Amino acid sequence: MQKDNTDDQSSIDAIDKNSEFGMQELKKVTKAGKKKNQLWKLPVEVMLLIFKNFDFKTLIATSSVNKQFNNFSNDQLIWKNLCQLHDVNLENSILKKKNFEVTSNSSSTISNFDIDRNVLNEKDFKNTWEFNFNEIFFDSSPSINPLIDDNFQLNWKQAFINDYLKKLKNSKSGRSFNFYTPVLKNLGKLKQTIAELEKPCLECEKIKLLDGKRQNRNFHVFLQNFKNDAASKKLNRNRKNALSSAKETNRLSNEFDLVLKLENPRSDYVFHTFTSNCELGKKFVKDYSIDSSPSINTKNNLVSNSEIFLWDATITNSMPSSLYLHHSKIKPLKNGIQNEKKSYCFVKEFELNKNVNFENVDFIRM
Amino acid sequence: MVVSSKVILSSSDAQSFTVEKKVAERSILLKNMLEDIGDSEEPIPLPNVSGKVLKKVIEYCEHHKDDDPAPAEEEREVFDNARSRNDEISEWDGTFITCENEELFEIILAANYLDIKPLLDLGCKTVANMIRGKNAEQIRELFNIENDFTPEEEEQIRRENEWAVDA
Repeated sequence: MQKDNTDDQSSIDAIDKNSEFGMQELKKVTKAGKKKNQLWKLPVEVMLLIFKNFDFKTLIATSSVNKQFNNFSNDQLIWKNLCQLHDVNLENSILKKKNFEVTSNSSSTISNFDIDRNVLNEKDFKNTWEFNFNEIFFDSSPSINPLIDDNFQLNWKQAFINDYLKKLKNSKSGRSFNFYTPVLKNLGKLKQTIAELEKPCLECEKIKLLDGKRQNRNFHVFLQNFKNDAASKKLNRNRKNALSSAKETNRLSNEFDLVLKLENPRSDYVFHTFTSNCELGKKFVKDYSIDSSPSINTKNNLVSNSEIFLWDATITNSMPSSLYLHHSKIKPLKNGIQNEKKSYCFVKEFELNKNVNFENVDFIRM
Repeated sequence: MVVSSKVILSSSDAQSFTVEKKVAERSILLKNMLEDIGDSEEPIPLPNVSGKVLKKVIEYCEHHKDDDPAPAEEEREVFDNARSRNDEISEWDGTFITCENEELFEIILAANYLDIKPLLDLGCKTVANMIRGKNAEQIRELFNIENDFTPEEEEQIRRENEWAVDA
């Protein structure tokens, strides 16, 4: 290409000496030739691979480049990918639809809806069911619900936009705006992130855990580092050892500062807890007492011998969009409060009792 | 037992390259092909790849010949999402892929044709990095793209994108 350009240039120069008109013509030809060789000779699947690398701002910029770019920038798969990456909440229709499916197939697993039924009397239950059914019916209609397109498919771009605007609004009203927090996928990634605990000043890592059966369910685990005090150094040292020694990990498991975030602003209040402290998880499940089956033992996917269990729990209290729990309620409660008041301001809400006022929880800024 | 560990590749402009089998097998296309035909002294014709580009692709495969083998098809999907968000490009790869636009596209096409996923990803990421953070006009300039919207369509897109103005 370099060589070709030089050739073109020299021929242009040559013609230039003879005729200005000739040069203009040739320039046109050259430009057209150059154009022909540009980006759009790449096949569609490759273009989509390129677009898959974009953040939403770049996607927006590309949408006004030309028609071809506009098409790519509106690709549903790309937006779906972004939605998953940014933890977009698929509200309304999707959720209701799911409820409907769950109720209709009488599956043996405890479903969102079954859980709700526990707290409703039979009459209420019936009303709820019908209410949901009606909503399903109407919400899935494309003309009413902008999230659903003519083919009854979810419009991922619209879902992303709705979620973005909602988060933006929350951020303006002082809530955390975590849109750009990196999200890692796959359980195996957690291992890597825990290893990164050794790095100083890691504030928070957000991890999205997905496995095949649990798609669309979000788990958030925050790893919070102690900072600016002697305890931090000690803990970091301990943690370092812990990572290389299973025994040590067991001994330290009470100090292991995995922060567990339960987040689900969805209207059905399904909470997923992920903790390396079984007792806490059990207590949590007991207090909110809905579904306590430890569904997945992910032991082998995690670093050393920390026991990790996963629960589904549905909380019937009125809930805020996020709730943070400290994974270990033992030592940090006593020592932590004086030393890490700032990082652990939410610890005071840590005792899981039914009267906890979630509105007063100090949310961490991410 | 004598095992032929060399493969001859022939480019569209009839240039021949002799490479280790291990190197050639970075390409899933060639790997499958070699499995099918078994050991052969015959050169493998690659009518979609020019000698210049093939040389570059071989350079990449030589450097990465000891990497983990590409994940099998069914595993790919799982890794795809995580990997596509990993923006880090190693130093060697970064230097390797720094070239003229034209050559970059040729390499991407070749990687796509030869099914060399890491190279394809590298190319796509590089193009994406060139585009990222630019506005529409700058992107048009970068790739010589003509704006084919009518003013009405432009206005409509502007309105559709209003939600992201504050971003």
